Amino acid sequence: MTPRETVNQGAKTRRAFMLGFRLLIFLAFVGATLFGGDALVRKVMQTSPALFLASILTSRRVPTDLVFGAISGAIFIACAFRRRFFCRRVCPLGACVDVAAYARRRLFKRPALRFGATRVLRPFPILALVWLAALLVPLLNRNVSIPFDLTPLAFDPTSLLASWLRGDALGVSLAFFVGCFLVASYAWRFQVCPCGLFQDLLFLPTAIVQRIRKRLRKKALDKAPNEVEKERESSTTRRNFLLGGATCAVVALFWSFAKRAASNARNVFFRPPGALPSPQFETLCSQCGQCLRACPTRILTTATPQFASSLPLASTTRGTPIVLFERGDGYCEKDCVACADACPTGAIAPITIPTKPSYPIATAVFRLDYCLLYYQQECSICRRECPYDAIDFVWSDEEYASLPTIREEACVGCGRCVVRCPGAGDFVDEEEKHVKALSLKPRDV
Amino acid sequence: MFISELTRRDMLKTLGFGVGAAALGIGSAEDVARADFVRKEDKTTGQLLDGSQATPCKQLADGSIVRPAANVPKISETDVLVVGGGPAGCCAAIAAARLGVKTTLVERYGHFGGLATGGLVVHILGHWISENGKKIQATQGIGEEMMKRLEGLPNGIVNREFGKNPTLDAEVYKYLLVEMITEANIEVFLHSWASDAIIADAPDPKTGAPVVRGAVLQTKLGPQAIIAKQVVDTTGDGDVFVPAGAAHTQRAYEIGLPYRIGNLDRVNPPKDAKRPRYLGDVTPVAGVKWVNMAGPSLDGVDVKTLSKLELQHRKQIWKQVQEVRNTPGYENVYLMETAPQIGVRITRVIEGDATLTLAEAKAGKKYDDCVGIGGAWHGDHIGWQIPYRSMTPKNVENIITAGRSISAEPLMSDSVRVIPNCWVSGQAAGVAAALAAKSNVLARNVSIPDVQKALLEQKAYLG
Repeated sequence: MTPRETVNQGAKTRRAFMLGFRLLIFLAFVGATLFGGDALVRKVMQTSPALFLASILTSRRVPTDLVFGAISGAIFIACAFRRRFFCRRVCPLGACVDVAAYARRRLFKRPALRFGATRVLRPFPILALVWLAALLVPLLNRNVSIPFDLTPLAFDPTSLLASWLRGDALGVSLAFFVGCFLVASYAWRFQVCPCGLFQDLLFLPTAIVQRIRKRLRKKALDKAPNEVEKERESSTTRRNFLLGGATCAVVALFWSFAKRAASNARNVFFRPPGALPSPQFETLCSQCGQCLRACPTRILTTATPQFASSLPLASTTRGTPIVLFERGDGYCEKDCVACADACPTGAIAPITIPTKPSYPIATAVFRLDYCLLYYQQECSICRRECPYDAIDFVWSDEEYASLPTIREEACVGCGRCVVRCPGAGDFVDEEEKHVKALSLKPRDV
Repeated sequence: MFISELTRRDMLKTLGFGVGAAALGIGSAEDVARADFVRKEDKTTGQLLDGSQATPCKQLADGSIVRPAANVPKISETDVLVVGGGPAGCCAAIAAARLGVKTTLVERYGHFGGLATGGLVVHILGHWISENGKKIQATQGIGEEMMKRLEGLPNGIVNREFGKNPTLDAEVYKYLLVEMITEANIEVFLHSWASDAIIADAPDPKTGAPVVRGAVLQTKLGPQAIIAKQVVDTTGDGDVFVPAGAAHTQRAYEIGLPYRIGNLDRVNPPKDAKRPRYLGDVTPVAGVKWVNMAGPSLDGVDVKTLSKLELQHRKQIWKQVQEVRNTPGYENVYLMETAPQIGVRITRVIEGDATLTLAEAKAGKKYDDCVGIGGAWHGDHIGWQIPYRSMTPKNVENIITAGRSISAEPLMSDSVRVIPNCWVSGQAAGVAAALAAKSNVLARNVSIPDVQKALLEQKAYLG
């Protein structure tokens, strides 16, 4: 960053032009998210180098769309040679940061607070390292889950923005962030944003080469250090030390809360078909909500207490998609992989319709005393409705009735039998009238 | 005769018991014996048969049993012969008779209604459909007329409300069918089991298929023949189309035995008590409920199986009723009656010119020769068209089937076999048979537009 005092007219024009260009990208992103199809949003989101890489690594799927694939690839490569290329040139949230910083300069007549970070890893962004650990550890070891709510990909700027635009809390979230940007414009960019850290990592080789070059040049020139620069550096280091300490405290707090939540959790909930096993799913899910929007039967919801008060949730599941069959009459359609197609990160593996049966959601369980057949009534709805022929009626001498029997190897837990089951109606007490004879249980339990 | 007997008895009475007792000891023993035995002087209607005309079956030396050839007396000649007086058969006979052809109805029991009355399957399951979010009653025509007329009879039907499945009373329905069948001037043979088909000597010259000409009934007088231009087999078990040689499949399906329990209006369960499991469903009669039974899936035409199941089911029913009676507050409940006819759900199904499949029904497949719309059990899905070709067997002429034995894959059994859909296919079969008899064509070649027109005139619903 050049000192603002020496900015000449040409640079000013260039910066204004750049800002205008980025606002255009921002608006394009907003437009794509609000009005475009899910496929388009997924592609736009993958301009984020972090999501781009996550998608390719986890889904082992090369982008089939040449134009968007090429753009995302080009941005990815540019990040390796231009410091924070995505932040500065593409990122729609980055545009917000810069607008806020610009507004702050104009309003308060002073530059935004900058917590250093002009050089790679110098201010030691602790949270950034935590991000990295949170991303890598669960991916490498399936038995370790992320100990807090915030998974790095969920804080990827494109994912954040997409989830806001889609969600109800758009105004609140945006106001909060713009407010933060006004106070400390670059704190987000250099201290928090996981995608920013990722770009720094991408840029690391180039940065090292640059530093060596600079040192060599310095050695060749005068060795006298600049006193003012030194002073500024020490103050920045102190501030960063305090910030790091605060971050550590916040993380510790999260940890303790999360541990308590996790120990209380029943964790009986279901993921979309093809979802990676926990905790990899939680790690890779950017909580962007694209799968929710893509689902034609609207059975996906975010795991929040608001939607699923019956689900005491471990903190890491909050905000990630779960399948809820209790609402309405939706179930997972046999010939649909819309959620997998929409997932930008590969948290939901890119399954296909023929392979879908090998990715069960759950398995159906039968409860005798809520079944009409148990009360000697005529009913064959579940057997007729099952798209996988997983329900047989088997005669039971003991109950003197033919009762549904679920072949677990064929059942994928699509929930169709559950939503279609009429329950035992008048044969049970008033408050149990809507209890169904079929429900779902997790597969592994 | 009776009066004179009474008089004699009265006279004895007036004579006094003492005198009678004295007579027992000392007087005419003949008089006393006369007084003690009921002595109805019945008229002997037949002449003495010495048994020389009998043609019993013979066991040959190799142990096999053969039936000797014999002439079968003809008891009737008719236009349309409907065999089986269940819901489908009654609708078929009434529909045919209303078109002005001579119609004959044969039934194995002493009443009409089949499983709906004798089988105590009194639930009208599946005459509603949902189309474009709207509920429509798909069962119209004679079925609807029956339900409407049941409404006019005391305790005839209950729950006849929009979108609901009503329950009828077996006895009221038996009476109503008698009323409707006599109104339609149908010739009736009860207590007659169809035991054989009669086919023409020469097969149809065009197709080479056998042409059905009537049926043989097994009666107390031995086999008796009815000759008909068209035969409608609504026996449910293919009692005519099977001996006629029609291609068919055999299904094993749940066989149960429904029953009715009474005094349900005199129960007094303590608060928060759990309801007994076998309470069954409401009927039009207050305090009476009917309890259905699924039963194991077995062969419903094998008499060994049926006998075994009757015994087993009756034990089970007894157990179930005792379980209810042992529930606090339900001590007064009693077993009113068990169904006289065992609840066979489906047995033989013809191989028709068209076969209904679940996938096609779900997809709302349309047929040119649609003669009726089948309903949904709970009115929660679309109707499915019944093509005329699913009622005519592939390889036999002049026989139409209706009810549960129309050509359908096993997954359609539950849809095909229920009462409203039997009404619908029965009416269609009756109309087609009558028109075929009138125009003197093979049943297969009857003009479908004419059938559809006649059905619409009879207020049937064709979509």
